[in-house]
Amino acid sequence: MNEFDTLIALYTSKSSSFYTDFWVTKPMLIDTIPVLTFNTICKVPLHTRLYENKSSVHNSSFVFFVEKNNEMALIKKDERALQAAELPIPPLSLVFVLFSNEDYAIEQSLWCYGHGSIPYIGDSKMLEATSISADVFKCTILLCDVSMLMELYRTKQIPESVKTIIVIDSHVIEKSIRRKIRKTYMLFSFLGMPEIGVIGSLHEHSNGYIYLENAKSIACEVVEGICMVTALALPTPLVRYNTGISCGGDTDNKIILM
Amino acid sequence: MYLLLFAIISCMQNKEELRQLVAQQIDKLSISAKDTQKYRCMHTSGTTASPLQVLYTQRPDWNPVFLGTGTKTLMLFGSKPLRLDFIKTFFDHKTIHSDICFLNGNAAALRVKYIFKEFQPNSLVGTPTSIFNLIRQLGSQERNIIRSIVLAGELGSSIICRDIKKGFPLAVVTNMYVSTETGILGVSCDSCLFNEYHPVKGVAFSIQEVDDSGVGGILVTKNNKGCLNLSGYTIGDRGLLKSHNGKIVLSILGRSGYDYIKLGGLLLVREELDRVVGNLKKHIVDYKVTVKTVAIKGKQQLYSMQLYVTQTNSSVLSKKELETYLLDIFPRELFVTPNSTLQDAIAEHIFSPITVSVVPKIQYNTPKPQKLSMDTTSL
Repeated sequence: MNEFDTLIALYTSKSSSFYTDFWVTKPMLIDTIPVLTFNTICKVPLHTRLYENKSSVHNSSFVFFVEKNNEMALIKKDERALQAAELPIPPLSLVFVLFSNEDYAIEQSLWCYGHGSIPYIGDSKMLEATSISADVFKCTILLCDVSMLMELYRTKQIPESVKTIIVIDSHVIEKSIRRKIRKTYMLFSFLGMPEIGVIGSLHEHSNGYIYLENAKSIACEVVEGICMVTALALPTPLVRYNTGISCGGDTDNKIILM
Repeated sequence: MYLLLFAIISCMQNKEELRQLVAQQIDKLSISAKDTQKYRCMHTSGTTASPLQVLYTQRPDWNPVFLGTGTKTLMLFGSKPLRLDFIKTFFDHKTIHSDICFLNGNAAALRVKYIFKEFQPNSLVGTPTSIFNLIRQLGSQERNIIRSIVLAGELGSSIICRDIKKGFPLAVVTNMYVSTETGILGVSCDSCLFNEYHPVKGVAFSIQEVDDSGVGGILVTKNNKGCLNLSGYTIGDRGLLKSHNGKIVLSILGRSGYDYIKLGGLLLVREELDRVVGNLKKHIVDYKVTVKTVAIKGKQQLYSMQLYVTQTNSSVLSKKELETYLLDIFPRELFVTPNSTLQDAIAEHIFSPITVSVVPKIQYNTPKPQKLSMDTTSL
């Protein structure tokens, strides 16, 4: 089923009326579909915006709490959604997982298990002790967000065993810090946010700007300078979701982060 | 028979020895693609700031019964390795299905009410303190949707456990004795007191340095499948062994040096402090007690006690009035022996008069909030 057929299926689904109510009319062109915001999601109870086959036996799922600008929403992710990201972590790796968002840390740890690696989940409130533990476990990969990396870097607490750093966040590491870190570690950056997961990988163009290569299961577009994401492999699929991330386009149709 | 068996155990382990054994285990670590699902790398902060690394190479011993019986489970553990272990266990046990949501035990009332309304949990798993805190944040209608509660991660006082059962009247409550480095050690039954646990299969308890009342340090022996076997491991809790319906149960009195402090002939027990403070709940939200040794006169030691409290918004007393009130009532109400109070100990010059401070927020020095502690740096 192609993407547009999937959108029609959402509109006509009997599992949930979320998109039927939000779109009002059946979508004819993707460009005409209304932009979805976090605020819209917050107004709809979780159990009414799930496109799941309720009659089928399902495994356990993870429901986590997202809070933005004093608004709250619960987001549900099943095993399929939790394993969707493509991260450069070889199987059998020991991975030090450290995120300021605790639920996101759990999600990335489950990803590790699903891809044949072993996570050690750190405690952002006990950085020194957690960093020592990661070294004891001989974690070779650090999987974290920008703020945790900055904290570890600034306090010189990146475990000695770590050789590769993978960052997932909704913004990029400052350029000067990025270059310093690259001198010692293999560094990979990904754009991501808790309600979506990993959107895609970030790369530095020779002209100095950062551009996005979106993941296979994700579609991205720029609308009025903001990145919109369509991620269909979620219990509540997101269609033209406003990420709030400022971006632009270049001549090669790449999405550039501003 | 159990007591005789326990007496034979002579080998004891402490945290430092365990740390070295874990380091050796990690050195010999070899993983295959089939095994990675079973590995758990965890740390425990414990009641001191020195973390202990723990490595499981087989799936930990979570019996599905211990995960609660709900289809929507709200977890209130602060420990992230424990959260991950818990959710991973749900995912691994394909026969049990639950949506799992986490809530920080200190979460604001607004967030708690939102999650209850949206997620509608029917099962709670968490520390007694976290679950107790939900009671005042939720109405009875919200609490009555809970059918299953699993308590673990700390020793709850009798008052807290009683209030949890009252606050969630339709829930079956299971109390577990578990720590990160040992796994599950014991489970309560319906007729157990709040601090009594039957050892689970493969676990044996013994007590060292037993005093006149049978209380001493708890040693754990466990055949820990996929983790280090424990042989007389000093877990850091104090308790005694009792007979309960013809079986041996472990009765835990608290953390050594924290919930249960012996000062010569006197005994400071957190349970007793909870009782006294509980009677003052119109005025007190939270408290902390620190005890110091301030002098040694011949063979007698002199102690001092500092009481820190946070005041309720509804208290009619001013801060000064509350401090004066507590200076008067607290020593009179707090028993330090079966028959004498702190007031008696002050009159006999064993304790100096207590100090009371009403503070905006209680500061805890250790990773886990300790209501009662002994300051050993005083002399």
